[in-house]
Amino acid sequence: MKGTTLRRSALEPARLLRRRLPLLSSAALLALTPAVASSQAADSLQTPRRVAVRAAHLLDVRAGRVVDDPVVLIEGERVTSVGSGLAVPAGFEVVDLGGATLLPGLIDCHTHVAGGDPIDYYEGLFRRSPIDYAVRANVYARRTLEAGFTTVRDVGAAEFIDVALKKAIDEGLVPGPRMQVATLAVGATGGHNDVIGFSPYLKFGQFQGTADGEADIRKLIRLEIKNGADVIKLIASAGVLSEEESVGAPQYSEAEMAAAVDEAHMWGKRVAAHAHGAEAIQRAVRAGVTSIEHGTLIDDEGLSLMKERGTFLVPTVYVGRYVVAEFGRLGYPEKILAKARHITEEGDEHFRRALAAGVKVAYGTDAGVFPHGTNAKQFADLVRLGMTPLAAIRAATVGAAELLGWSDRVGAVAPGLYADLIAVAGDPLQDVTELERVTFVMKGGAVVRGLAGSAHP
Amino acid sequence: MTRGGLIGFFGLLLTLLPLLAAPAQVPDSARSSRRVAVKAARLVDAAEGRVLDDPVVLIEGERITAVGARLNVPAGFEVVDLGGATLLPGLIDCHTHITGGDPADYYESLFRKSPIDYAVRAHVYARRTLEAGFTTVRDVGAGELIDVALRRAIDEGLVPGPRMQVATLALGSTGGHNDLVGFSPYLRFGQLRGIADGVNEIRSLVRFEIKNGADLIKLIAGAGVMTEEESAGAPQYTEAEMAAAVDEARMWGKRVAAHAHGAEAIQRAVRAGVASIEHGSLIDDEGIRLMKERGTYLVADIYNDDYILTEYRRLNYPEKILEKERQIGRLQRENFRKAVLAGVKVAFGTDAGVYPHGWNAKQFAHMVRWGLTPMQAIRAATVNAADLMGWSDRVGRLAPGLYADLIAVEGDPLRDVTELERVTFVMKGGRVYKPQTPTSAGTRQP
Repeated sequence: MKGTTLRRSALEPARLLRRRLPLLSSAALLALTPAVASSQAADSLQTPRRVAVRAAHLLDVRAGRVVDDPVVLIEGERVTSVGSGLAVPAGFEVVDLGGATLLPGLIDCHTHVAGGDPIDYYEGLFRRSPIDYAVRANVYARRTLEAGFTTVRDVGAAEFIDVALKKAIDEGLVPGPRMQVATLAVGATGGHNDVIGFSPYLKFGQFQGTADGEADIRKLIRLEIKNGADVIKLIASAGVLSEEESVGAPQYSEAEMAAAVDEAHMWGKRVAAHAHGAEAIQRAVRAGVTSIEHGTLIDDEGLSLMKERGTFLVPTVYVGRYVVAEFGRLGYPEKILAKARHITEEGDEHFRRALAAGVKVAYGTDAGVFPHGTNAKQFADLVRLGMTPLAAIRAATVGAAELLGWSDRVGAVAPGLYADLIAVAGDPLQDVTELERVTFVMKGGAVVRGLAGSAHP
Repeated sequence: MTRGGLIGFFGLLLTLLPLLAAPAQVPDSARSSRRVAVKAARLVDAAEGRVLDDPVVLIEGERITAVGARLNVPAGFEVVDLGGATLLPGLIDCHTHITGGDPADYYESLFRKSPIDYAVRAHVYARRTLEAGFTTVRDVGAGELIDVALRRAIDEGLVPGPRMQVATLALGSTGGHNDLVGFSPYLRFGQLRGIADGVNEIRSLVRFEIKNGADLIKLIAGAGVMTEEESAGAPQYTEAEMAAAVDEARMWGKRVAAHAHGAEAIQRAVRAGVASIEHGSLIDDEGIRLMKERGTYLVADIYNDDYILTEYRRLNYPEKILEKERQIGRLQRENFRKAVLAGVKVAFGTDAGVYPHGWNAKQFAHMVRWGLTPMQAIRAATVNAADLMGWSDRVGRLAPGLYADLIAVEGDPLRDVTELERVTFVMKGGRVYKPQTPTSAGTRQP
């Protein structure tokens, strides 16, 4: 059902363009689509393409205002100029999006693209191999990109599938978002990252992101970074979708967390800490992590620490309700469903308090626990819980880029940054669910979605 | 337009055209109830060796229900009119390695890419193969059971690709063509390996592969080209070992495809009872006689020599390997002609992956140059290939009860077999994966 919706909305801008751009030939459209072409095609592009994108409005997320009649000039994969009513220089192809509103490509700071969509608990754990997940990963990367998320921070994947996927995307072979990847994550024996709690005799012949004590933690981080990790995912507390009893108890000492952060910093990497419980959050923030993921049961002390340190909160406030509604059907044990219900009931109030305290928020959803490509559904929850639409959008653009350390490349439509643009038909500041109906996606100057329909009159 | 540009174009159409396959999103009920009539100017009936004018193929769900000239289209059938095009059954390549990707730098492929990299990319090559008109493949060897995972994702409708029979790890001897040694002896690969010596180990490995999803067994009967051993053709198993592999495979209802270049390896494999000889480069008169006697298929990959000799030096393949190719490439083609003239059964197989996936049809021209008529070459890639796979009841012909796997070409492939390199329409199981392009459709309208 989700897919049907996506395809239908994909055709909307095609009609729009046929009206407004009768002269745009199929050949010109093809020239705009290397993101879905093979690497051979990308190689054959010699001179940088020059494109001018026009629309009715542009949301300037940095300034927090709307620009009317925007023109975005793009050379190759970067934006060179942005302004209202700019003259289009000679040699620029024009992509006129009519009455649409332009925004920077969205960023989801908490995805698991390589894990695929939710499936039956036992099937997922015991029948699928890492090879199965790897074979299918392309499907979810493409859905994420086509939903308007041109960048993701992917926070945990088996067997370095995320590194392989990122490489294939960066080569132009597979369409997908820009990725920062965390590889195996780092968790304690018996913790959220340790697939045990079944028969103690069960052995998985794969890499394990499990380490105890400062020395082992440092060693695991070294292994992950040498094998391609861009960010370290630290499992600071218990979690929902694993077999331990608690959902929030700390799973590392503060000294262990500090060692993880210190080691990551030695290699120039940041740490994202999975933490539901108040104590685990405090330890992680004191240890110096860059973001608290979930942060469901955060208390006042945690909030004051985060404000003091400038730690980001990545509140996954949508996913809980999906788990509660769907995961019983997928055969998840009652123990896990009960943890999900608890977190979901508690989470809203704690997030309201975090907003009131004024901690920095970046958009992250836990996509993969719910279907990839529906990442934008969380905007409505953020607004329901007290964010303005503009603040929610800033969390998914300028805020997220800051968390990733990528403010110089993504998160805004500005000269020098990648030409990662999306468009929606309505006004996302009035109805933030417009972002669930993205009609146009461009990544690095290449149209991913929204123009292709007109190649088939 | 570059080849890559074309692929990108069709990729876009795939995501956007409502007529097209929409993997994983079309409910099963909608799929089974769909009724389509495909019309064209001609249909190549390779089974009967004739051409049917003004054909109509009626399809319900994923199967063909009727085929005939100028059939009435019953009410409720959606019509796909391909104008002046020629219809053929979907093509079958009996020797592919889809999960190995396209040719790449020798050392990069061996030592930088992991099985996970190959798995992440496999869908790209599956789609290219399908869009080239190959709706079925027999994939004869893959790392780490990637072929099984790919087949499953295709069969679920999540990834567009051909129907697959897969051989998983293959089965070879220590130090042989399937054994990744010959580098530093201290190098270890932490992966599954298709290596077995002696009757017991061979039976054990066959059992392991079949339990993990192998549809057929690929037996490495002799040396090969792309590996570090000196010989390109010497036998690498005893006849008793080969007989054990065949016997074990049969116990599980599976057939055996034997990789064999050299004359002695070929003879041993045929006597052991394999279903096909792959490559068959240095086959001798006795081998030909045995294959005729036993009804063994020859699957000779007589295109890729061109590609290897022009491209593989650039890819840093060792001189030793290039020299082996030079030794057997020309002989393989001459011996193919000898076998064909002697009446050995031939099925189409190309070793796709040694050259770029999607170019599979380039081999037709070579088969015609080296002894087959165009009709015979097409039969090798349809009727015969289906027979070799034991799938005559589902693919290889356009006939009621079989899968609606159809392709179309603009010109007459019986006059110019290279028309098959320019497939303009692909349907698999009643679903269109490559539509007729608007421009070419326009030129064909009467």
